[in-house]
Amino acid sequence: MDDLVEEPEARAAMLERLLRDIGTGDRDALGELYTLTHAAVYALALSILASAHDAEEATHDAFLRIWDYAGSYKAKGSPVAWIMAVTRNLCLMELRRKKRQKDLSEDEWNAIPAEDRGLNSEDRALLQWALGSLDPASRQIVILHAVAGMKHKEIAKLLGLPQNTVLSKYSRAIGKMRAGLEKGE
Amino acid sequence: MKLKTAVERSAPDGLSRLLSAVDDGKGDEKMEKTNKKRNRWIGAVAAILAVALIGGAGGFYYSRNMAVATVVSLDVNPSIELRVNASEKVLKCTALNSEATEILASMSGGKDLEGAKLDVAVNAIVGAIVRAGYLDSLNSAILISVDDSNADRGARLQAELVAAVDGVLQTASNGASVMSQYVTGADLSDKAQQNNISTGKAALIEQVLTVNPTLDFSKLAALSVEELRDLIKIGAPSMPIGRDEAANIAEEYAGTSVLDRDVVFDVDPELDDPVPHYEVEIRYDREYDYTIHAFTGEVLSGQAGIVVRTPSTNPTATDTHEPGITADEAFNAAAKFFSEKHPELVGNFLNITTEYDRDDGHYDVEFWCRGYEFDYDVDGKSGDILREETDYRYTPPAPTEPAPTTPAPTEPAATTPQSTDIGADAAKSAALKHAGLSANQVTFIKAQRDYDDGRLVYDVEFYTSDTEYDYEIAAADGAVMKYETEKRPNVTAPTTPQPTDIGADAAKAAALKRAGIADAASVTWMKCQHDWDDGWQKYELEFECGATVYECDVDAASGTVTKFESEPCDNLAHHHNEDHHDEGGHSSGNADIGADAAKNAALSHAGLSSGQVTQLKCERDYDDGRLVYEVEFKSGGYEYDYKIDASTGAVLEHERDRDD
Repeated sequence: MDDLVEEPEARAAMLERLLRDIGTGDRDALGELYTLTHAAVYALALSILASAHDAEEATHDAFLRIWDYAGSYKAKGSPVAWIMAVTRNLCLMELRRKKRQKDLSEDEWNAIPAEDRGLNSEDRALLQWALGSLDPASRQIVILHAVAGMKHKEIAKLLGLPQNTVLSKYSRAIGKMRAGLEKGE
Repeated sequence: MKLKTAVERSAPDGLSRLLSAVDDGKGDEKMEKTNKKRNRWIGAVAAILAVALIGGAGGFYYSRNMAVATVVSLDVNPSIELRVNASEKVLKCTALNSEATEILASMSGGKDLEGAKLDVAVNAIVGAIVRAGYLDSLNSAILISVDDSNADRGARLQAELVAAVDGVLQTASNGASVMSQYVTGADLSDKAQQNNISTGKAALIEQVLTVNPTLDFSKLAALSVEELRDLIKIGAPSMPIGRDEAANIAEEYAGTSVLDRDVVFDVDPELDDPVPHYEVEIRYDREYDYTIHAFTGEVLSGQAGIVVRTPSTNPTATDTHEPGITADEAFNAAAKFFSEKHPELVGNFLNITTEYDRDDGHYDVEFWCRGYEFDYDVDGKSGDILREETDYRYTPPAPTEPAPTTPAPTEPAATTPQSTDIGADAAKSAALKHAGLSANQVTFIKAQRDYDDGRLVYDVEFYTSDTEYDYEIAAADGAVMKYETEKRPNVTAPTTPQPTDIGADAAKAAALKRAGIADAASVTWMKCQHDWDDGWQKYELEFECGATVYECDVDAASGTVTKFESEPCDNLAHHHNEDHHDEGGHSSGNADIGADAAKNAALSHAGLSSGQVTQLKCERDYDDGRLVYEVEFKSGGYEYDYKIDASTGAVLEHERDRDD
């Protein structure tokens, strides 16, 4: 992520600029936005859908939807929150469609790297612990904060939870993940 | 954090696939693009149908595919009906009223949708309705009705369509609500046809008639879905006058009915308001708002005779959107208006902002007074007050409150600082003191009064040779609400990576020292990440201690804290364990009226006693930086939902809904 702008405001401004350009049909801007945010989008999709294949499809669909609706995005300083809301809605629709919401089994998490993408065993173990051991809400919160870089306040708004809950779930999840990792190694 | 890297590595790269998917939309207008996508869909569907035909199944295809299995109708104001076959393909798309004809105009009157899959068609229609501006207010509603002789299929389609439409509305509009119903419309279709409405809307009208059988079906047919929904909600006491009549009454009152052009811009029904009314917006030489009682037609508010008052010859043609008056003049005009309107507040209010809005050609003047906001739009040319928005929580003073007796001064006393405002200089001093600097060591960027989360603050910004400081100082007492420091980029700094690395533990220690936390065990670490930033190595740290969240960057080579941010997160830690813990370290300094007082505030607003309600719940929460109580209870078939300001007991939000 070294090509990422680290300053949150600068990053938000950059994403807003990209969304604005996408709104005018700028294909390159879409590519740039994809490069910057697809990992987070994929991670959120994965945390909801619990299937690598479905998450890949949802990521694709989410960016198509962003392509279609970027023009209607109103710059409010939280482009990530908007992108994540689009993704989440799409995933929830997919879930409703499939009428399933199951917890992850170890096998499924093992299936994450469908092909070799440079995911080493340490990363794999981390992902497994990080996400497999959490309840769905905590999993989403961890992904949204640690991977997508959203603020707790924004996450609370997106998930419709009190900020308190988000914070305590996050702290607990991080504690649990750390405990799990230490035990596992 | 490693998790981030791990996820990034596991995320598949589908960029080339994505770009090829959007490729043929390149350079098009947005709307064209959507159409194109839909057309591709239709193309695909047509191809499948063609294969089915060539495959020799022609006769079967006709009987099975041309038979209407389901009728789906979409009602907002536009009413559109879709006839669908058993394979969920649209056979016919019909506009039932003139608004619907307009919506479908961009789709060849609905012909483009024929042959498309139902969900694709519904998406396209809802998208067009949103673009036409029908669903842009929070209380607008769309009704999806599914009429199917097969109950299972009907119910499934209904659920799928609601999910799909909800998804579109979540992304594309302001969260208008989706209503849906399953109807078997045989007995309703005659009535529906006679009134040019869908069977779905007819079913909704039947619901109104169940509540009040004395109302007239054909008159109700003229109402929008939103009005019908609200009528059911409030028990349909009588027949509302309707949007057209409300507009007529407002025009009559405004005197614009003599004009030969249409000046009614918008009519918004608010039937579920405590006083059911229609809001009519008239745009003549400027914007005028009228509220008309929904049942009696009485004009509740609005300016009479606007045409006589302003015989404007051509109000828009010469509008260059350049202000004709200065910001000071705009402010004075607003202050004068405010002083006359609210004599009880004279000498006691502060100007927050005066900004020129180029798009609308007016100044936006904002006042703050005793915790309430007052907002004025001042015409950039004439200095007329176009709009006043009084903080909805503000009610003119109770008799117990000693209103200032001083008459309105000719020169508004707006600039007299309120006793609770320490002033910009004191705010600067407070920030400097906190930073351990003196005024001659720094360069000030700004010390600006602002209104943040319902409180008056100063944004103070200054910098030294190597650091930038950003403070938020409470205007009432000079308390530091929030601060942030950041190292200024150093031009002479080496751009090569630093060879040394102090390690994560040392970075954490530096952060704790900066935060002034001695007890490392009281800290919950949320993030400790080693990262590169412009050729520098740094640690990004995030931790929680007490009720404060800290974000901190530490230079990996020197251990210098390069960025530091602290914010009181909320009072979760307190709130589960004790009720009235005094927020000692909590800089908000809010008083807390307690749960009982909050309950009483909500009950008294609802006009109920605690004996009249059931399932009374009260929860303390932190909302937009403000401590609130969320109070819920049920009474008389309604569910009440209140948000009460924990420091004042004021009702911030309230909602009453049928309890079903």
